[in-house]
Amino acid sequence: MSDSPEETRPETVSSAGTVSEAKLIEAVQNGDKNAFGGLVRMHQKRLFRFIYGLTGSFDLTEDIVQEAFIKAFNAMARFQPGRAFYPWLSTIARNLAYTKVAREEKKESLDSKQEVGFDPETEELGPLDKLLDEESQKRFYEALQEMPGKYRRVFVLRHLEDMDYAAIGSYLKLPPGTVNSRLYRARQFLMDKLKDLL
Amino acid sequence: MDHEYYRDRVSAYHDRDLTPEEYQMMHDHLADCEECRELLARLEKLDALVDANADLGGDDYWEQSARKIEAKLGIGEEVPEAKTTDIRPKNRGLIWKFAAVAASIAALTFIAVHESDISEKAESPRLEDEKIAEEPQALVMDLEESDDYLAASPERVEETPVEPELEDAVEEAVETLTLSKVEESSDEMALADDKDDRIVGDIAEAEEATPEPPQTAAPAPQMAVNETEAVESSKAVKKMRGKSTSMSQPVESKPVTTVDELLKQVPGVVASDDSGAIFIRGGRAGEVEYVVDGVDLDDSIGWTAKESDSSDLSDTAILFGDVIPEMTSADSLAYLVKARAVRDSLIGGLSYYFKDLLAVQSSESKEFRLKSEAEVSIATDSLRGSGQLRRCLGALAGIAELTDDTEERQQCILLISRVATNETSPLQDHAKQLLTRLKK
Repeated sequence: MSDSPEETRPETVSSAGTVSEAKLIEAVQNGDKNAFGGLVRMHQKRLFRFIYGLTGSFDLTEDIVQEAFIKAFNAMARFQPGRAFYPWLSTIARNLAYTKVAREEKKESLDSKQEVGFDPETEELGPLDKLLDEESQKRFYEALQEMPGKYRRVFVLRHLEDMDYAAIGSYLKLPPGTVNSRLYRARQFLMDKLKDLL
Repeated sequence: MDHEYYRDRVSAYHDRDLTPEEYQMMHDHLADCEECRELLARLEKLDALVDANADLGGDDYWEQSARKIEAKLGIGEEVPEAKTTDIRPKNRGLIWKFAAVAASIAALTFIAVHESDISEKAESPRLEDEKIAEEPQALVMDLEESDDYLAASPERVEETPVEPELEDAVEEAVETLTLSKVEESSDEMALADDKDDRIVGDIAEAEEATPEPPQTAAPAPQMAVNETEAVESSKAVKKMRGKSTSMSQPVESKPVTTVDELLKQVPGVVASDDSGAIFIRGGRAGEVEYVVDGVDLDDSIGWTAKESDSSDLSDTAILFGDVIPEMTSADSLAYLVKARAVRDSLIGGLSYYFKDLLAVQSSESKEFRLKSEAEVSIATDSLRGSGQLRRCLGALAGIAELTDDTEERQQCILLISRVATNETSPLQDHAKQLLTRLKK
């Protein structure tokens, strides 16, 4: 009886079926780099949505998400097991978002163009459209994109990242009252834009 | 209370983000107010609409995206079927704010603004102050935890020292604040602030701003130790510009008798070892906003630098190191930072703005009166165990010397005086010496 290489090869997390985040992290840290792909698949959609909510730019979001994963990958050896991966990842991505937006704004400013980034001038969904299956989804994201950035950021953190007011305030450095008022205005904005769907 | 008061709180009521008293008041009001009830009903419908539509489709796109990332990482021959996280909100609306302690995500924020912004912000109300007042114990505990970690992890301290080969590569640059541990994988810290809903940071690419480390170093002050590695390996250089800042409230408002006590009131910043490295962390409400170039005084710390003949520090750089996963909680990131100054024509420092107080580590050019970073290194080498306090004293003295702000100077002197009059402080004599020098 002969064992094929396939049969004798030890199973890795990468080759396993559905696995937990903790297992993936452990595997990556133990040298199974391919397991990082599982973390990418696990978190990329949420991360994308979050960053898109902050930036309002599809292309920028794509770049940031990719870069955030790369940075996280490079730092995985020192990621403490037992920690939640997404908060760490999203903070890296969020910092990248601010960095890139600041850079873009500076560049645009030098070119005497309008600012881009957090408040894109376009109201079209662009490439995001391909990720939205339903008309109501498109309406929602269109409205979100049209929303002023200062409201959108609060809204995204509340509704898409599920933060409470205190967390939002801490994250954006806003007083609680401001979080409340901006969230209220964000909702008013959406209720107005989407009133036919409510 | 008028109707408008309640209407403005319907949204928070919907989120259960009111105090119990407010919630009950709102509850009672809703029983009598149809308009507010309608608004609440619409908010609930909006919630449902968002939940139903916020998810993103496009499975093909996500698989392609994952493969792109894998390709960039050189991985991905075998792909585990990791569960996609459900990104729909969960349990929203059940979060109460009964506790004063607000645990949350701390923004590790670097801000660079122009000098003109500083005075405005210095006079503005301090959210951070309120937080500190609310949660002093939590902050103290947090710092203690950091110290414990550092004490238990000598390897982190060992990472900094390197050959003091530092040259004056510094012609083009300026003051550079570097991290003791920086790798290519280092995370770029963002410069941002949402206070005015605009990005106020001025960031530059690391590669652009990093002065090449010299191959042959000119004699450098001791502060140069630890720097070469960071400069060589770092790709996370940030530029900053602007000028430093001031403290706006009297020291008396935060009574302390030693700078150590002061440190314990400071969110997120811990002088980590005796080599001049500084450990910075964040993670809780009220913790840490990182201020590059000392701008937003809402915050705890800032790096300050100013050129002797100009406030334009457009080429001033700051290096930040990698995220420290071991100290990174679920809600925060932590960075290890090291400061240095590299250009003679500059003065400046790495300063922690502890709200309106400051206790600090400073670095500045060797030409200037207080070579704080170098001095600090020397001092801490000879006085292990008190390095943190000593650094702070040195920095306070440096700021007292350099500042043009009379109030700021007085506050620094007052802090030093408290150590100088503390019979139990091991640094009493040192503080006295600093005071003597300042009087001169």
